[in-house]
Amino acid sequence: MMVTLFPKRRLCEVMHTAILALGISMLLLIVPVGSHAQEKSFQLSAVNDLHYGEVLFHFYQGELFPSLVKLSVVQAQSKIPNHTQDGQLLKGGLYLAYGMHEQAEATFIELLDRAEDEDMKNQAWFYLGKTQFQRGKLGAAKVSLTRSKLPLSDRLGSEKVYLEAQLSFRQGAIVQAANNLSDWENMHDEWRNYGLYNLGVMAVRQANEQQAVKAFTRLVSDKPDDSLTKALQDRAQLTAGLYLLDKKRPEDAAEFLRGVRLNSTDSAKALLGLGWAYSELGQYQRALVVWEELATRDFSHPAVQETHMAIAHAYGQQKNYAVAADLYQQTIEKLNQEYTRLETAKQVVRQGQFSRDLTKIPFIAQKDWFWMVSELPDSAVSPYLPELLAETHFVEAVKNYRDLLFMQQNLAHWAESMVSFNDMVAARRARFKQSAPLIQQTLNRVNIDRLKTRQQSLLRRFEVEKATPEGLASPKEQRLLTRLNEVDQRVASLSAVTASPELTSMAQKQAFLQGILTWDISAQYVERRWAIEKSLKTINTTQDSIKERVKALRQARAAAATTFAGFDQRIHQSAQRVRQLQQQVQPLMQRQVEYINQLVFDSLSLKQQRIQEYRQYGLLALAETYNLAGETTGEAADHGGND
Amino acid sequence: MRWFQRLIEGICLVLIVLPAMAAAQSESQVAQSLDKEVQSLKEELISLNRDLFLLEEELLFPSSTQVAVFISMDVGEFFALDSVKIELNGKEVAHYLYTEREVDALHRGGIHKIYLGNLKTGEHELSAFFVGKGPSGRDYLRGADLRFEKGLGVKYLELKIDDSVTKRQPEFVVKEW
Repeated sequence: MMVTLFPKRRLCEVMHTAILALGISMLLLIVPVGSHAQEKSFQLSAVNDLHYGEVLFHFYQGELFPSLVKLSVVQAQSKIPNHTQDGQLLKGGLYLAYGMHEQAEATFIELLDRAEDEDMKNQAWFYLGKTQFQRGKLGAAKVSLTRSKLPLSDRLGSEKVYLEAQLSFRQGAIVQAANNLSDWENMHDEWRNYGLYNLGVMAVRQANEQQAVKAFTRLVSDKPDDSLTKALQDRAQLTAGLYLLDKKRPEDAAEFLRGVRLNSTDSAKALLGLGWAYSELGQYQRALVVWEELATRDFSHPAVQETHMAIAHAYGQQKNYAVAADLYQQTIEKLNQEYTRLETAKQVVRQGQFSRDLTKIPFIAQKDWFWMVSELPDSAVSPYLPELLAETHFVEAVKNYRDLLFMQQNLAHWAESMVSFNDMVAARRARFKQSAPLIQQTLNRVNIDRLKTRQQSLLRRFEVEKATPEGLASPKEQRLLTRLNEVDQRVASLSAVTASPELTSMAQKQAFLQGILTWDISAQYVERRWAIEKSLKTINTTQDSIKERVKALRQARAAAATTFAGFDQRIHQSAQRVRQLQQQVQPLMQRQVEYINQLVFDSLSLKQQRIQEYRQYGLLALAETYNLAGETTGEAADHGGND
Repeated sequence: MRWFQRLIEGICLVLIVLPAMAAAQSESQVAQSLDKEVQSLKEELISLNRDLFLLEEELLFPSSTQVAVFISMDVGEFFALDSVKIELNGKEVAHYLYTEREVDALHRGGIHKIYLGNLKTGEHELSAFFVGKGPSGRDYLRGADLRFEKGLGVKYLELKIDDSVTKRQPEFVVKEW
C-alpha cells in the first residue's frame, strides 16, 4: 500500500490558511488619515481678515507647509486680529495633518488654556482627543473626547463617534466599539461607509456572523460614483467573502467575491477566493476559469502564485494527474524564478539604487486611507511596491523621506537667497548714502511754520471777504464790477451836465448789467464759500500729511544705521540657522533611507520565505500527484489483471 | 498525518511570524525615533521660513510703500473664473491663470494674493480684468477700476467676485482695506 504524503484535503486546507493570512490585513479597521481628510473635516469660520483667507487658499489646496508658514507669518505680524483663536485651531489641525503630532497637541492644549468661547473649547477638546489617539495616548484621548460635550457639526460629530469606536476597539472593548457604531444610519455621509465597514470587521472579530454579513451587505448595496467608496466596497466584499469562505459558506462567499471589481487593487485576492469558493462547491470548471484568468497576471503577486498551485490542484481533483504534475512542475519553476527576481530586487536595495528611485514614486494623491500611485519607476523593486505601499509604516517612512527631501530643497533655496538679501541691504545702504544730502536739503526746505503763517493770513482774509457775496467774486467778476462802477460814475457825471435819451439808455443798460452780475455773484455765493472752506480744510490735512512725512523721514534717517545693522544681524543669524539645519537634514535623510531600505529588504526576505514555503508545498503536492497517478495506474493494472 | 501539517505550520511560524515580530519591534523603535527627529526639524524649518519671509517682506516691500491686491469669491455661480489681469496706473503688473483646484479653494473662502509690490504715496489707478465663463457658459470678460490714495502705511485692495441674484450676473467689487 502506498503512503499518501499529502491527503486530498491537505493542500486545500493549507491554501485556505494562506488565503486567510492574506485576509488578516482586511480585518484591521480602516482609519482615514492625512491632509485630505483633515482639510474636509475642519469646521472653519467665515473669513474676516484678508490674510486668514490667504492661509485658507493654501490649506484648501492641501498645501500644508505653505499654509503653516503663512499662518505663522501673519500671526507674527498680528494681521489676523479677528481669527486669533480659530487661527490657532487651524494651526493645530495643520500640525496634525503634517505629521507634527507633538506640536499639534501642544497647540490644542495652549488654545484650551486661552479660549473663552465654549464652542471653540469644544472643538479644541475634540481635536486634542484625535491627536492623542493618533499618538497612541488612548487614555488621554478618551478623556479629551469625553470633554468635547457640545454638539459638533454633522461631519465632526460623526468623526467623533468613529474615533470613540476605534478607541474602544484598540482598548479591547469590541462590544463597546460595535455599540458606538450601531447608530451608523445617522452618521455623516463621509463617515457612514467607514463606520459600516468597521462595524462589519468588529462583528467578524466577535464571531457575529449575522451582524457582519448585515453590515457588509448594507455597505455594498449603494451605487456610488466616487472611486473612494467603490474601493471601500471592494474591500468590504473581499473581507465578507473570505470570512464566509472560512465559515464554510462558499455560496454566500462567492456572491460577495464576484462583486469585487476586476480593476480593483483587491481583485487578485478576490479571484483567488472566488476560485476556492467554486472549488468548495465542487464546481471545478468554474474555479479553473477564474483561476486561469488570475494566472495571467504578474507572478509577483502572492495571490497569483497561489492560483498557479490551485489550478494544478484542481486538475488533480479531477484525476487529471498528468496535467496536474506538469502544472506543479511549471509552478515550482516559476517560484524558483520569482525567488531569483526577489534576490535581484534585494541586491538593488543593498546597492542603494532603490533609495534613488524613491524620489520617482509619483504619489498623485493621498485619498484618505490609501495612496494612489500613478506610475512606478522602472526598477526590480517596483513589482513589490504596491504591496509595500499598502503598509502604513512604509508610507509614513516614505513621507518622512520626501519631507526631508523637501526640507533639503527649501534650505538650499534660502541658502542661495542669503546672498541676495545681503546684496539688497548693500544696495539700500548705498542708495541711502547717496540720497542722504538730498533728504537733508528737502527737510531744510520744508518750513511748516511759514506754511502755517500763510494759512492763517488766508483764513483772516477769508473771514473778511466772506462777509459779502462780492467779497468772494472771481477776479473776472471783480474786474467787471469795477468797470460797471466806473461806467455808472461817468454816466452820473455826464447826466449832471446834460440830459439826453442816449445817456438815459446807457444808464439803464449799466443798471441792467450790474443787476445781472450782482445776481450771478449772489447766486454763487454759498457754493463759493463752501468750496473755499473745503480748500482751507484740505490745506490743514495736507499740512498734517507733510508734517507726518517729514517726521517719518526724520525718523527713518535717524534709524537708518540701526535698521541696516539690524538687517545685517538677522541675515547673519538666519544664514547660520540654515547651515545648522542643512547639517542636521543630511544625516537624518541617510538614516531614513537606511530604515526604508531595511523595510523593503525585510519585506522582500519575507516574500522569499513565502516562496520557499510554496515551493515546499508544490514539491509535496507533486510527489502526492505522482503517488496518486501510480495508485490509479496500479488499480487499473489490478483491474486489468483480475479481468 | 496531522503531525506533518503541524510541523509545516510550526516551521512557518518560526520562520515567518517570530522574526517578523522581532524585526517589527526594533523597526518600530527606529521609526519612532526618526519620526520624532523629523517632527522637530519640521518645527525648526517652519520657524526659519517664517523669519525669512518676514525679513524678505521687510527688505523688498517696506510697509511705507507696500501695496497688495487680493482676489476673493463669494458664491460665484454666475462666473467660472479662468484668469485675472491687474494693471496699476496703466501698466500690467500681474496676470494669473487659475487652476481648477485654486478656483475651488476660492469658492470655499480662500483668498489669493495676486500681487505684492511697491507704490509711492499719492493717487493711483487700479484696473482689473476678469476672464472666464459667464451665465450660460458664454465667454466673459469684465473689468473693474478703482482710483485710490496710497498713504504712508500698507495698502490692501480686495477684488471680490460676487453674484448679483437679481441681475443673474456676476458682480466685481473692489474694496479698500
